[in-house]
Amino acid sequence: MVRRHPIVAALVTVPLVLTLALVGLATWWLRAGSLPLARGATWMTVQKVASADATPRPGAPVFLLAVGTDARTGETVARGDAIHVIGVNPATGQGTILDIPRDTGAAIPGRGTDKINAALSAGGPDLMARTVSNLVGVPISYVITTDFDGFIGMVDGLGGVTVNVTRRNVDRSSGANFEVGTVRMNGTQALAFNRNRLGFATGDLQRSENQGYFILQALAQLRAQDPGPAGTLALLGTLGRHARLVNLGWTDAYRLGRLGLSLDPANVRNVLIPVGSGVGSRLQVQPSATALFADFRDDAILQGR
Amino acid sequence: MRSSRGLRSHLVVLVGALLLAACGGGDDDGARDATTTSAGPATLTLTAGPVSVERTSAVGEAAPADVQALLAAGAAYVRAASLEPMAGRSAPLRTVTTAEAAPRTTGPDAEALSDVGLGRIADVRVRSAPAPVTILTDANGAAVLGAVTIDVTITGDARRGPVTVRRTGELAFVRAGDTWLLDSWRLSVTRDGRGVPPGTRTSSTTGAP
Repeated sequence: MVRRHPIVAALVTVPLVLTLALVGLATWWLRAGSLPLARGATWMTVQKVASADATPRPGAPVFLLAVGTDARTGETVARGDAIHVIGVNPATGQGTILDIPRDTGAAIPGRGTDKINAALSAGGPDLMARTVSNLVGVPISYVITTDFDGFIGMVDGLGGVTVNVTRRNVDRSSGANFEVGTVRMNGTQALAFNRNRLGFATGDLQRSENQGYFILQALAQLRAQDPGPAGTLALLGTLGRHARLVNLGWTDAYRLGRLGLSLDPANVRNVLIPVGSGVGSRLQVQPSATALFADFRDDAILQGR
Repeated sequence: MRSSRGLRSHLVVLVGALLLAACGGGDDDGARDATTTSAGPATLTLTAGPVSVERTSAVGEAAPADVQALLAAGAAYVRAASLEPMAGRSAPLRTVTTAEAAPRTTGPDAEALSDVGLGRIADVRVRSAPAPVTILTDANGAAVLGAVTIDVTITGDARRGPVTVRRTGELAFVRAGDTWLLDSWRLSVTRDGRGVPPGTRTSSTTGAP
């Protein structure tokens, strides 16, 4: 039995965060004429962060955190092994995805310094959001978490995602076996593509970049379907049967979905934060990250890069 | 001479009758789509097209009261966007939108959202196709969000000549107690006729947050 890597699942989470994945899936189902009414498998949990400053002002940048966990079926406590901060600028339709390697050392409130992925198991999405917020310096409004099964379900629900493989992606342990070229991936293949780190010299760093790329591909595919307000409601209907909303109403979910649909993937940058060797197996955030985060936090756009 | 005059009179009557018939035929064609045609103080009442329900659980129906309330909200938007400005008043869009959407009514979407730029219009007539309605229900089956697809044509006479405005697109509404408020939109507006000022003929907007 192939073990699914949590990072792969997390990668898929980003598109979900944008609700685009849900939209695409819903659209696909609707077109297939087989929209299920019963509640199905849970693909993800969308949580609005409880902190007072988590409600974005109209027109202001919105920051979301997408986390892929390493939870296996039936497990309730998990680490956040795929971590992406998504910044969206509603005024310009631009955005940025910051990929944070799971081994990055960070100050976890009340827990001292540890690998950043430990924040989720230590205090759930709220603590994970606070930890990432402190690291990057942006207010996280929403946290979207997914797991292996959720990732596969979403990609299969989309009818697959087309990926332009620009670098050979082959690794026995992950099951990845992709030569350079265009590949239409189902959920299981997408998981393998996104979990492969042993097949690269830079390991998890390359994997993080691949995940970001995959997210943008999925986003482009979803946005191409271009649902309007009524179509977004149809997508939310599907989302409601496959997502768990925490501290979040349907109006919030609708606005989040419209926000995601307003993003042109061509205007979204995917950037791995600069890290290097740190204490033990931890990665250390590099000094150049300071300028990167400052550029990101004012408007969610990286002007200088 | 008398018989010639009589023949001419009959021809005039006949031509007049044919013209009336032609006009009547035109009205009938329009009536197949129209839900409201009015003169004088312009009014609009939307009637429902196909109604669909998107359920987030196994329960949820389109309550007639919700459908009617959504149609009323859609009509209220058209009144605020078009009919009020055409009557020489401002476009009170903030009275029909959510607090979150209100700031966007004066941004880049403003040109498409209202017909303020047309000025005062006389003899306004409104025609609307049946409006499809989509309702999202929550876990308890209650309607929480709704969308109305409009296709409204407004004609009238501006100072410089006739004006025709066709406003089409989707409006999304959020329940606010007993009423519904506009929260987002995807609209296209076409303005034609000699009475339309340059630069305001066609506009569209996605209305994304």
